[in-house]
Amino acid sequence: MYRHKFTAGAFVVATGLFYLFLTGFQQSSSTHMTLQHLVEAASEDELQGQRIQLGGSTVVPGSIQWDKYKSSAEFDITDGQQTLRVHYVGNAVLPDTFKDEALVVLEGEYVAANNSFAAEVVFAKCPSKYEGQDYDGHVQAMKDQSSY
Amino acid sequence: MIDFGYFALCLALLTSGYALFSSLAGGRSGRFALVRSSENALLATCALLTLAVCVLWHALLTHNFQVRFVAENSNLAMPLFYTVTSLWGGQAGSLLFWGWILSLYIAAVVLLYRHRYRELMPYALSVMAATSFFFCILHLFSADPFVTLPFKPADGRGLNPLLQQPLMAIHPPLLYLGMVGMVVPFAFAISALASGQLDSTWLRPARRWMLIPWSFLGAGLLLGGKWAYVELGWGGYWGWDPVENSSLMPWLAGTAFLHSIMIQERKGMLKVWNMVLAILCYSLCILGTFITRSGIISSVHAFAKSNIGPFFAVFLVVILVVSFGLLYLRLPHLKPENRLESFASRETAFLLNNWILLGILFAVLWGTLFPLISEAFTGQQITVGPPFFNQVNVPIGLVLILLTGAGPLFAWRRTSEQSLKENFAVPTMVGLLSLIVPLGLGVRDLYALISLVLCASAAAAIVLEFHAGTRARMRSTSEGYATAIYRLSAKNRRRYGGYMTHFALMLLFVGFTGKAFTSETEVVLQRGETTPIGAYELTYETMAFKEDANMNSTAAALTLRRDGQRLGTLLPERRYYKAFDQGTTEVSIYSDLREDFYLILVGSAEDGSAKFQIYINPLVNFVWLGSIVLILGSLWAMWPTARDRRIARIDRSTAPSTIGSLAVGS
Repeated sequence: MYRHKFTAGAFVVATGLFYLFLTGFQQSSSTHMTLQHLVEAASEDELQGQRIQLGGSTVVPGSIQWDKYKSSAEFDITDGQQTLRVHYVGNAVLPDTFKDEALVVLEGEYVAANNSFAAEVVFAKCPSKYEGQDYDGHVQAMKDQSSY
Repeated sequence: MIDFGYFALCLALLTSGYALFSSLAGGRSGRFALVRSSENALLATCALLTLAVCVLWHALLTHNFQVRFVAENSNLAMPLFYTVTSLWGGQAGSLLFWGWILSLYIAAVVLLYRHRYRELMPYALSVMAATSFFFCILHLFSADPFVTLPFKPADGRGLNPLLQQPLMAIHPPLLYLGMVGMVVPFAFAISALASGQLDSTWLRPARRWMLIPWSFLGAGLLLGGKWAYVELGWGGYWGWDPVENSSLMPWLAGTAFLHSIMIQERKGMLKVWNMVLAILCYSLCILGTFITRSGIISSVHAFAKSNIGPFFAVFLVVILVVSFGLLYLRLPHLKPENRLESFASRETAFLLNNWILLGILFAVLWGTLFPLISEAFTGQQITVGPPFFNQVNVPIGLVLILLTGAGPLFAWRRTSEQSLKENFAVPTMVGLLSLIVPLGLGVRDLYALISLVLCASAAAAIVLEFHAGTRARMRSTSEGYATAIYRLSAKNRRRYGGYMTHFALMLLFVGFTGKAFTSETEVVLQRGETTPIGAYELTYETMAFKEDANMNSTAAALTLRRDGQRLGTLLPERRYYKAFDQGTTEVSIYSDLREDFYLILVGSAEDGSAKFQIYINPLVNFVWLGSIVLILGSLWAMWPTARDRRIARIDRSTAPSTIGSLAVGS
């Protein structure tokens, strides 16, 4: 008898959780893509209304245009081949790590009308000049950076 | 000097490898001398890794920039404290630090259990030795901290000023002490499976050695949140980032484990489940390290992509295959000794507790790994953000609070209706009465109301437990209230430490509830201008500019008032560190129990006006208060009691190794 009550209860709970899962997903999921992907999809007009997470690009040096109080900015990003203009439309202050050549991950939507990206969230990492590169490139970078 | 370090690592590889095989051989053959030999080898490994770490520290402190790690992670201008902590500032050093902590844990287990748990120890040692061996492989073949450059730079790169914060310096060690330590309960679980000693013996060391890392991990998680809150300036303390989730998941599994082993101890049930949890806990640590260091899932935490991912992936697969293989083989011997008798029992409460914790764990795991899963199936990486995690975890969390308060009120096996009525009466009343406060303040959010009611009633239940226990003790002894409550808690450390920890959880949840009501504003002010913000008044007084060799800074001074009363001066700042081309935001916070007034200087213009961003964070200080109580509660619970010492003494005096160590196994 207990068994039946137990399984019934578990079933109800599981259904409830499943529902929460689904709606939670719909509300906050975004498709991760690289700039290359984005440009290709944009040219085929596939990006309407999609929430996109754009990764793997860096800020083009000298492209950051701050507003009067540095609460918002317009800048260009590049992956070495393509570039794209970005407008920051979020509420929070831009992170301290946001600067020239920073590796950025953006969340927002592509604006087809003026071929730009409206970013609601900007994550920025320190430019990783050393780790991940090949050893020779790394050594050269160290030599360039310091005197010995 | 550096060569000594490298040589020490090579030797450590050999000693840990030897320990692995000799402990296995000793366990299989019953030859005690082999086991002792492996113990000594593990102690030697610890000594060697300590030497390696000291060599690296020496290189850092003497600014030996020819060592690549030193050049990348320190510089001449760095204060001593950060030079020391830069040991874990980069991949290679932090891995060595990890391996060292691992060897310290192993050495502690070896020394403390020299004469105890003789059936389990050989296999526990082999598991720990295997882990140590794996990390030695990493130190030598993937992330060698002693690599030198072909030239000697005049100065190093140094540590990013964002990371030069005391909280940030302690955060990694705490997390490592947490994640690393979870190998010990895992080792004892495997040793029970391997040795066939499948009763509750393995639970004793497993609990002790789960409680320690679990506490450190919890402290590390909360400290990381505190750092993010005061340093990063986005007004929050938890972002559901993959790296954050990676350390949360083992903590959840550990919490479930700590509860469910109580059922096995008392009722001989859930034997298989406890094994699964121990394996899961450790696997999540390795998975977490894999996610964090491989760069496979994009995260704000800047860990560079490296070749270390595959090592951890392979290690994880080996762990899972071996553990579940052994479990499958031993399944017939892990039958439960009792059955669930009633729903109104503590067993049910604990079972539900496990389900809930694992529910949260599953949600977090799914959300964290979803980019990989979706990529495997659809070719596109889809990420989920904080709204998903919050939406799913909040309702589950509410049930958790309910259980936390209600669980201890149930008796083992079956609770009588009379008991139920007595135990639940006061907490329920307190909960309902507490509704007055939020309703009076205008709170109408259903989740928030439920949360506050449940927290209040659970807190009342816990306080009552302390009170009832103290009164009972006072009746049988002649102690006063204060003495009685102290002695009561000291004699039952696990129970009352647990209650303290539950109380801390209530405080944390009250803090989390407040997050739903955070408000944010931006305002531009001229010098001397005052503006109302909520119940406050903010006056922008003046701006100061400062410049020195390292940095320049813009600091604003503002006066905060509430209801006409002056609360204080806030000094938000923006700094720019020249050598790093790095700006930092120094947030200024006015705190009281009710809420935080969190002020950021966004930027200033030439005309002297400035833009400010303000977050009002209600109840956030309950999170920090809860953190402190959580740490205290865990410390209280894990502290050995006189009874523990007595048991240890008895174990030691009756252990085969002391009675006839020369006669046994040769």
